[in-house]
Amino acid sequence: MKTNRIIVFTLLLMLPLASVLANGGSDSAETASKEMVNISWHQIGNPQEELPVVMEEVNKYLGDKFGINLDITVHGWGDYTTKMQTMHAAGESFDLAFTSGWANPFIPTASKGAYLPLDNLLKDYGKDILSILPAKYWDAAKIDGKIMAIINYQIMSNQRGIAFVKEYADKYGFDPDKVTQNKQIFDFFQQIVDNEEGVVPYFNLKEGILPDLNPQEETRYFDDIISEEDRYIGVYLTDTTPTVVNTLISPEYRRDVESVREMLSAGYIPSDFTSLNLDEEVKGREYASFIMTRIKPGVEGENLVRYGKDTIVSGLYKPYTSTGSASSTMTAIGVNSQHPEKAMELYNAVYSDKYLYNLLVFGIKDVHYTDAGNGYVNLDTDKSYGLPAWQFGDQFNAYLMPGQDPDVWQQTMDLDASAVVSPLLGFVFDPSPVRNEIAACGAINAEYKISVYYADNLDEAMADFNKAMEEAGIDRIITEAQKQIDAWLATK
Amino acid sequence: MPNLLSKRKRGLLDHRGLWLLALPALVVVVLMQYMPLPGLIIAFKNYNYGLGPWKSSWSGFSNFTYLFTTGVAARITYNTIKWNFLFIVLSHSLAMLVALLMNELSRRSIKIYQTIFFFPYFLSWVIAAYLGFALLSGDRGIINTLLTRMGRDTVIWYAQPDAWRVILPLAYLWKHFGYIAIIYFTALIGLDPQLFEAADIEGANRIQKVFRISIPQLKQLVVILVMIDIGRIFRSDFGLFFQFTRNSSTLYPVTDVIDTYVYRALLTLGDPGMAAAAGLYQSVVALVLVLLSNKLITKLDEESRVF
Amino acid sequence: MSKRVNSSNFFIHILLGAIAVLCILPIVFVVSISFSDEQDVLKNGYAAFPRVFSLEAYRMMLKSPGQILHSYLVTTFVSVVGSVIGLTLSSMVAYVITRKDFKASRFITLAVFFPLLFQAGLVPFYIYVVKFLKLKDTLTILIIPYLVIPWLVLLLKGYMSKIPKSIIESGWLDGAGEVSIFFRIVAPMTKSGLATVGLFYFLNYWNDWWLSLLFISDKAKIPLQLLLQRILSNAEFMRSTLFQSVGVDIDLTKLPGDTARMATALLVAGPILFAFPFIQRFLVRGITVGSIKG
Repeated sequence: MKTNRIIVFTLLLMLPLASVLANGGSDSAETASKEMVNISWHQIGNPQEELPVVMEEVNKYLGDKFGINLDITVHGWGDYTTKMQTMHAAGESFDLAFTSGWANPFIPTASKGAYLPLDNLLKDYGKDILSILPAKYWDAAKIDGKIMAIINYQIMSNQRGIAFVKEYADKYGFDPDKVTQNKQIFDFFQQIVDNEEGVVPYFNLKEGILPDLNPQEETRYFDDIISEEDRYIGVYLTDTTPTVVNTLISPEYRRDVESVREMLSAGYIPSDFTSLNLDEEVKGREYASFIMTRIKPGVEGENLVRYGKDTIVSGLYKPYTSTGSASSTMTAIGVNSQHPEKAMELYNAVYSDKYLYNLLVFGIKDVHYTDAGNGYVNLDTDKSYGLPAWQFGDQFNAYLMPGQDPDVWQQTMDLDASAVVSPLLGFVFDPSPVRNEIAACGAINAEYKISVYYADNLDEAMADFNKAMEEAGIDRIITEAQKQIDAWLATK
Repeated sequence: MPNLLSKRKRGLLDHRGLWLLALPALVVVVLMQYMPLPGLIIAFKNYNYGLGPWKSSWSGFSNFTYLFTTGVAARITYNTIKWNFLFIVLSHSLAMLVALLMNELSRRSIKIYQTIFFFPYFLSWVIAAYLGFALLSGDRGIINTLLTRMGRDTVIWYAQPDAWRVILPLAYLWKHFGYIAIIYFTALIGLDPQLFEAADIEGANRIQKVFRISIPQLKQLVVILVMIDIGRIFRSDFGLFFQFTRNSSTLYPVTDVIDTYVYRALLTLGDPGMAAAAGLYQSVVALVLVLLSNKLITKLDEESRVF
Repeated sequence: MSKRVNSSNFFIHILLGAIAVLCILPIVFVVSISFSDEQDVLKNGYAAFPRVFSLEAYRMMLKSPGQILHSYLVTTFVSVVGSVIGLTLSSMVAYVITRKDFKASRFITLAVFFPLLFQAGLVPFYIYVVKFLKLKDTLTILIIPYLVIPWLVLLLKGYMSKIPKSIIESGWLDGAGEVSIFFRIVAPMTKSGLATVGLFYFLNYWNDWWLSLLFISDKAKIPLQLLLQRILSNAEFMRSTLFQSVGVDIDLTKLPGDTARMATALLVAGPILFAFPFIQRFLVRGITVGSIKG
């Protein structure tokens, strides 16, 4: 009997608790005055404790200037895509949202009608954006000829590289800058295998990314058409009459696979490298080099922070600019947005207003950062705050952080200027006519591209691979891609 | 009084009471499970975010074709059914054995075993995957370290499909047998003690009592549990097949199941219509299998049938 | 039951003991790793006892204890309310479907079993909850979807079908209605079954992060699982090379590694691991309220 009463009592206690829990967080947002326009913005990042404090400051500024009350929601890195996909599917209203090839994927969502076409809005309310971002990049955000997202201005080219640990490079007199052939790198790896017990010569990890190792190449062979992961079709970056090819039957691919197999059998890379996580592994092991999927000016300083190692980074090929690299961070306006004009007006301000930009990225001066002079900031304060800088318009507006070169932004722009331009820059593939084939080919590709590294008989394995891809309809994808590319060329 | 009893037997008065007991649950089921079902229509649509589920254009069965076009289709279907069937047989046998053994012991030691057997259920597959990796990793795994010490060649476990024919069932059993054992054990201690006393009088020994009383008494429960598992036979424990295998593609010939294939296939597209199509396909097959097994059970033993 | 001194008990203990070791060993490792120094674990691998003892993982996870404590509160509330109501509703309907003399019982069984086979799937369910029920960001949506879980209802049916018909008939003779027969006779007789199923309900609520991932963004309503899941999945995402290509500058040493991961698992599972006999008793008493009077 006693326990029964305790249970009833507990349940009764739970009821008021429910209302406490239910009301806990809802009293902060409603204070803005009536005439203000509310703009919601969904972002990816680490949810920030200090966000409300920063937003108060931001809204003071925005309220006076534009009559806008901005509400930023930061979803976690791992949650963002799921959250946005379900919101799109339910047709929920939002004003601004981050989109890209790697989170909240741009092409499928934009071509399925999740975003508003922006051409007219940009002309009327986004003049500064149009003047800042070089015109050649805009095509990368177009679907059916209409701009569906605003491209953020940051590094626009892509270049893969290897980071060599300085300690070992120096010890064996290896100079990464002088490398012209795979063999020279392999010789260095061999010295590590022979002389450094327990040191991994080369971390080249994560399935899905082909372990390029071709420093002698002028440029990377192919531009991918569907996505970075689905590189089974592409066009040669040097092909000016872009012809879509099956990359899996190309001699270049064959050579890549053979070089991986050679590295595996010689022990240059961990035997189960495809099931390892780069950043996880490098924390606990000794290693002499590792892959860098995107290098940019100042990357050696970043490596020092990330991995605690002095490295010499050497590019594997010339940087190149493609639709994928140009559209790697963008912001879209939701199709059900209540105030698309105001949203564009706001984004125009974020893009061009240095004060607003840095307030959003770094927070409030002397609270979240201190001024270190010469455009540098010091983030070492009691309260930590920080949203990804490439998520807000023009990254070249950003304050400099310790370790960055004073002219890092200029270096970045120079790098972009020197980059090889893909013949497909500005072409956006619409996957919907062949979505079944892409689903099937994607699944087959994910399987075989790894198993060919381990197969006893490479010829047989490659033949199986190609046969399976044909069954899955790779030829229909190639035909469709070629058709779309030809149509795109005709409009230029 | 006798009048009342006969009325009840004719099922007049009691219906209200029984409906009253069933109604709240039925309301919840209708509200949470049945009402969203019309949304499955998107399996037959070209889903457009701007238009929503109803206004999007029809696409016939085209959302389904990626499930069947390649040679993989046969493999994933076979693997899914094979593994689930094996898991059902193994986990229920082991759980039953453990439950019967526990039933022979004193209450105090049972409490300890019961708690311990339940432990793995609390660890998510993510955590289990890390522990598994510590055992099986190529260069530094505990097993390979032991092999080296014994002077044997090491094995790249995550590139060795055949090994996973054993590893998968072991991992599944480790995680799941405990709670099935608890289900059976609970049923055993709920049995009428008079049954056992009667057997004692007849002079039956422990083993005879197990076979003549305990197991037959659990028959209906086994049927229900197996039927539930058959209802899920076309779906897989995603954590086991995806996370625990580290999604290592060299293992696919053994570990690839419908759910992992669909996940992989839709990674680039994220099409809600195609995802719904896969779910619907799994449901329809499961429905057929459940109806068939119910028929079979009814034929074998009318008493045990589920519906 | 009478004490049976038998040598075969010894063998049973050996067998069950061996299985128990297999079940407990991974937990030992989890505990050990969570109290180990991250660098040591990375260098020398896992061990059953911490080689270098460290509380760093817990310090990191509990850096802002306010949110974690609040999330414990949310999870406890949802689990207690959900499992008490859920167990009550489910056992009531389970009793009804054991009554083969009740014509509608077969229909009700089918109605409960069908959702086990057919689910609407992520997108339709999300649209339904957000657009029709308008339950986004409420505690209600964390509770009602799991109130009646088909397979647990059928499991309860399995436990209840052992009750002899004569007992129910004697209830009729006493003039009791079906409702009171259920609460006064059937429920107390299936106590152990209710305890087990109630525990499953409780764990189902406790372990869920899926519903909250979909429907909760208000900080005040984030349950424990989602909070910790988020810490881990964010770290996981940042580790992937995919992320490297975006070029974000984050100090990797600040990401939770193995030790934090294991600490997370214990922070989630720990409390119920030790409270679960109590939870069982609590739930059984809850549902058999009033039975003692009868």
